[in-house]
Amino acid sequence: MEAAAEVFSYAYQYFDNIGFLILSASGLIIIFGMMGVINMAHGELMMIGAYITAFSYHAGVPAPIAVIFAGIGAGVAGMILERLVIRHFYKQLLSSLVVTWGLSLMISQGFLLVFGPTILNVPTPFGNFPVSGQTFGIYRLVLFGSALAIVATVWAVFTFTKFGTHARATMEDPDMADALGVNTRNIYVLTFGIGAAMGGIAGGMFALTATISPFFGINYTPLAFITVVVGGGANVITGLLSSVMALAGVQTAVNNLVNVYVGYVAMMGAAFFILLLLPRGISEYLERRKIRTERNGRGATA
Amino acid sequence: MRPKITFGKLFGAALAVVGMTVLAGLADNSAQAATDEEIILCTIDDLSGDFSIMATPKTYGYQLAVKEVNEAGGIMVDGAQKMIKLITYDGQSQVKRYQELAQKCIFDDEADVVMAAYTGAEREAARREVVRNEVIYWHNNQGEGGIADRYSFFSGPTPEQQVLPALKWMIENYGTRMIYIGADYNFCRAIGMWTRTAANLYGGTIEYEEYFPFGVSQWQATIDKIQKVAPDFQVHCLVGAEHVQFYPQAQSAGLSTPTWSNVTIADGYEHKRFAPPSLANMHVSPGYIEDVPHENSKEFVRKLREMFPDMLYANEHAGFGYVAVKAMANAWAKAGTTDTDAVIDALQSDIEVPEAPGGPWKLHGDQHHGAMHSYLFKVNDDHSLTLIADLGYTEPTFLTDIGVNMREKAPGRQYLPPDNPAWAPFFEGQDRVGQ
Repeated sequence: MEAAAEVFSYAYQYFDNIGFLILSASGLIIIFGMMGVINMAHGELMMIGAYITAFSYHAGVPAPIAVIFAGIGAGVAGMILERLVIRHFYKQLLSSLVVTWGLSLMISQGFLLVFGPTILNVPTPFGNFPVSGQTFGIYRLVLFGSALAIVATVWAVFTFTKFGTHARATMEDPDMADALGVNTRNIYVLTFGIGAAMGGIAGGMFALTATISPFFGINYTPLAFITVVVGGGANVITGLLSSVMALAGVQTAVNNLVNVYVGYVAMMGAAFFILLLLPRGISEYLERRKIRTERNGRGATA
Repeated sequence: MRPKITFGKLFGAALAVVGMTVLAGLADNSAQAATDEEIILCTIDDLSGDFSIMATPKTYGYQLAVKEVNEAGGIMVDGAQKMIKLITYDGQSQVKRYQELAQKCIFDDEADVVMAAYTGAEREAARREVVRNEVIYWHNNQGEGGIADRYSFFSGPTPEQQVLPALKWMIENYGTRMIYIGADYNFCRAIGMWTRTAANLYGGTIEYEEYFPFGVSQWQATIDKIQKVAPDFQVHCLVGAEHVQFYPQAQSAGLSTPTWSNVTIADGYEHKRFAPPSLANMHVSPGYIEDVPHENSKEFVRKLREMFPDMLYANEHAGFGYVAVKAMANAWAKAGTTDTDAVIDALQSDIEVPEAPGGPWKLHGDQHHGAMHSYLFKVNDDHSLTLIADLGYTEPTFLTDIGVNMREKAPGRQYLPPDNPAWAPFFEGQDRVGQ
């Protein structure tokens, strides 16, 4: 029985860590992974989501709807940012880094001025369940499930809808897409908005378990970037999934074998080594291997 | 078409630059002139970043105290009635800002006293710079104690007033088996030593001990470890907005063992920030928080709310920020000058602040730490606080026991529990870390 609890505890932590990384990175896979914008203000979009969730919840809105409000609010905020600022800095990596870093400072300091250093968070729902004498929170599993659902939705939208096709075409070759009648301006706004909305939803879901302060986002931004960069841009969805499985695996194992501090360092170390070996991320490597096997396969039959 | 640069435009620009330089010079001069007519109190606190939650109310305490002193006519020093001028800098929750801002206080503002920092790391960055330049320094929230330095003064409670009496009560009431988790820096390392001291003195055992870097917010692995140990109670030193996410995560994972912490509630008023019952069964032993049932507290909170209607909670920082300014005002008045040595003599004459919000407070001149009341509160399911024990009026004795008397000689170093010969055996086989 002891062993069963041990195994369950490891699995639970693994899925919890995966959920955490996916949610942190979910909006950024679109904004950075697809659009190539280094958005240092991503954490602040999550923070806006957290504030909207908390305010809505305390105004009597049920928590799940409050999280949806967070998505809408952060999405609108993202579209405004795109129109006013971001669009001037496409294809300029360093400028977009500096500009969004500035935006991040302005947004968090602005919230500090308007709302003060902190507001009341939202209670964590669902309680817990026992496994051979130990108890585990249900909400962490809900976070994991929601993370998967968000990734699946993004994949479906960008694969099966007309908007998705137009968006991918625009990111691939904006001039050609424009010439073929795609309104690329709208596509950019909407794609950025969707990325921001996903950040807002993630922030809203974390608001049920975290402190809500103007500096809420600071700790998510670097993790989100590491996750997305390790995943690589060849295929953002496979990239994200393989990246979080690898990073969360290292983190969970070392957390339990040594301690949380070394676990965190080990995760950063793993990201470093993966990028050293696969500089363009895991998904690029997977794509290349797929193409190679396909070629070899054809060669054998010919 | 490229705009032409005409002579007129160039001249205009040059004139503007000259004008601004002159104006800036004038502004600078007026600031210099002010230093002679006012007493300069320079403060550095985290008004932004992770620690702004804790440190912002401290600046409210400063402002209230300065307002009261000035409205009462200021202080008679060096043959003139002078007002206190409060200069406030934002340390941005970044240790590296503290050193440079401390220099700014000393050299640009020519501060008569510098009050700075929340965490032990920030404190040491600022304090070393201030005392190196022989200016009086104050740290105004609870600390790990034991700093014996001529220019350093401490208004907040020490572990003798918090850790020892509170853990004695916890062991007597909940049992002997405890765990300790804390942030990995000098303060929580020291609190770990004090916890070990308390465990040895009162018959407890520490079953599991671990330290975490700032910024850790994923606590599931730790929660699992604690559940496996199944202690009688937990001892925490979790610092900052990320660390305290432990509480909702532990609550949702069903870990609800009684817990004692000297930073939670007292610093970060988590019971007002987290939805109930995340903090239920938490025990805290502040020297002051809004819920302290002393007459002084009611009056203090009323005045503070009048000035700062948006204040969420008057925490320990607000209380001891206020005490420190009042203590300095009394010392300046007693010395009749702002001369540093004379003011230190006045402070060392056991200066008192009878109106301290947690109840009368008295500086021990030989130790530079205060004697004060501390209180043990328990957080209820609805996040209201119940006073479960008055830990009494405690004199600081740690440095005296080691043989330090700063009226005679200040060693200029910090002492920790293993430095007390009577306690040294508790630490045999332990790594000496955290200094």
